[in-house]
Amino acid sequence: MNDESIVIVAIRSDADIIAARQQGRQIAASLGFTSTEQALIATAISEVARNIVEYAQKGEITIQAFSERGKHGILVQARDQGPGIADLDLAMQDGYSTSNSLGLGLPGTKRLMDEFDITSEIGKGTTVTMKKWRY
Amino acid sequence: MAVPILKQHDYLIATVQSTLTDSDMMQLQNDLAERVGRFRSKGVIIDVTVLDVMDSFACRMIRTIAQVIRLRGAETVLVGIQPDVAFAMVQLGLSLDNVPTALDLEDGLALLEQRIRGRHNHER
Amino acid sequence: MPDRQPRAFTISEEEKKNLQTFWEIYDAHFAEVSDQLREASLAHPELGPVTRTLPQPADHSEAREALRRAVFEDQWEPYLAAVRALGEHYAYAEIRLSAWFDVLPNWRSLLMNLIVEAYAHDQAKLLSALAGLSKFTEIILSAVSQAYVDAKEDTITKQRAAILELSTPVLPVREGLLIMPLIGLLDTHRAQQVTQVLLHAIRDHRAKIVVMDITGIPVVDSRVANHLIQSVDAARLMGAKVILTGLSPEVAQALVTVGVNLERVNTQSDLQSGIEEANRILRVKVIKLRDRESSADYEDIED
Repeated sequence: MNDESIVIVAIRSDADIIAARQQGRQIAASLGFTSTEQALIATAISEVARNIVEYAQKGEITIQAFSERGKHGILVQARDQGPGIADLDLAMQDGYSTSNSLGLGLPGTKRLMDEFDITSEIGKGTTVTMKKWRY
Repeated sequence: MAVPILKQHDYLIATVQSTLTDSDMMQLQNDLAERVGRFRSKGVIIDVTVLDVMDSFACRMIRTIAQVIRLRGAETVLVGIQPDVAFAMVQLGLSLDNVPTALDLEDGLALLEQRIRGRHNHER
Repeated sequence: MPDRQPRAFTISEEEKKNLQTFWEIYDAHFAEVSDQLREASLAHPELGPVTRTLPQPADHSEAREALRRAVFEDQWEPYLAAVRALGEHYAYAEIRLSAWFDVLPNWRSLLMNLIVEAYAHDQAKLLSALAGLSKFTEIILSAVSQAYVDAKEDTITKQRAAILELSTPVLPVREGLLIMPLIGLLDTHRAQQVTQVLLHAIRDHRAKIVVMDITGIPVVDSRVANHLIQSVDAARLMGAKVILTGLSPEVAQALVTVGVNLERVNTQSDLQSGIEEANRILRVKVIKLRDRESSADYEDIED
């Protein structure tokens, strides 16, 4: 995969979650990430894709190779036009032993990646941007 | 059946063969509940060796399945979580609460035996 | 060798024509140019020893054919694969990439002279062939440099793994029991490495208990403690218990004060106590050898 190609996975059902994370794992592998890192990336994609299915019904995940100031890595974005998140601060509040039965699992997902950004607007949708760098 | 279930004496062994969809999970829950009832099984092993990702949803489902099985009078042990998967799970902050885990099938069966004997002794 | 996609390059129609014009000269003098390059490499103090170990093909027909296919049929991959393999060979032999820049200028000059000689009276062809030489050099250098970078990265990865193995020893004590003495500062990156070594060791040795000794970790703050707790949790998912030893009471107290929950961690004061605790959990009775004569039955594992 070169720096130009970008993979887009439409997320509409749970089968798409599996497709998205398998794509993520493949691309991560081709970029030289270790198998442990691949597992982290695949898990992070699974989490954000699940949020799309559960709260927005549909959206998309984009995955691409990414370079910045000499560093190389993977960039994953999860976009939807769902209801949006009312209180982002609350959603991102960290607590290591949260059981995730109600929450979006965002603080945990953030721990899986190196960079994590989320923007959301009520009624408009949510975009999660995550990056992981190759060491 | 997405997840084949084998009967071994008083135990059932469910071995996950590939990534599971939501409906596969529901099917597994129903199949195990039905069989535990039918065979009056004392314990269930769920083997997730082939899974390369266990996300929050999968964890919730496993906990639910274990609860359903317990309501039917049987113990559950989860086996086969791989190193990378375990690592990702704790990074994510997932816990399997009351679902005991073991390294593999062999250890899982030993653990089941221990727990069932313990429960039996406790009930005496 | 990392399985990396070769960087794609494009050749315009014009560049292709130029390469073909260049090729006519190169191919006509292939043996001469290749031999000169080999001589120069052999004479080079660094490249020499490695070049000597390379087999010299009986003739150049294979290389010429591969190059022809590349230039005329756009089949660059076989030719470049051979160039990369050569580059890799030198890279793993630890020859500096810059050593190549000592011999390439002569190779280029030779070709340039041959081109000028051939097309002195045909300016169009002269310019085309020179442009072709330029593009060819660019393609080759790119392939060789890529091979070098890939080889170096591969070496670094291997060295990193070796360092990790040395600095995170895992000592099997008996069946089901491992000891991991941790030494040095534990930052986030290293903590993750430690956890991975721990988890893989649990799987490889089928360990039920790991005694992790942190006496050698100079600073144990809440961040380090949380990393250790994460390791404990991850190990539990794989059916193994972790006993933490070497945590001084003062540090333990300090951690509790800061809000670190050590409740679900089995801690013992030192390695010896940790092993005894492990034996207790594994229900192993250790009988000293000299007592063996006096005790009638020697049960290793009590029922």
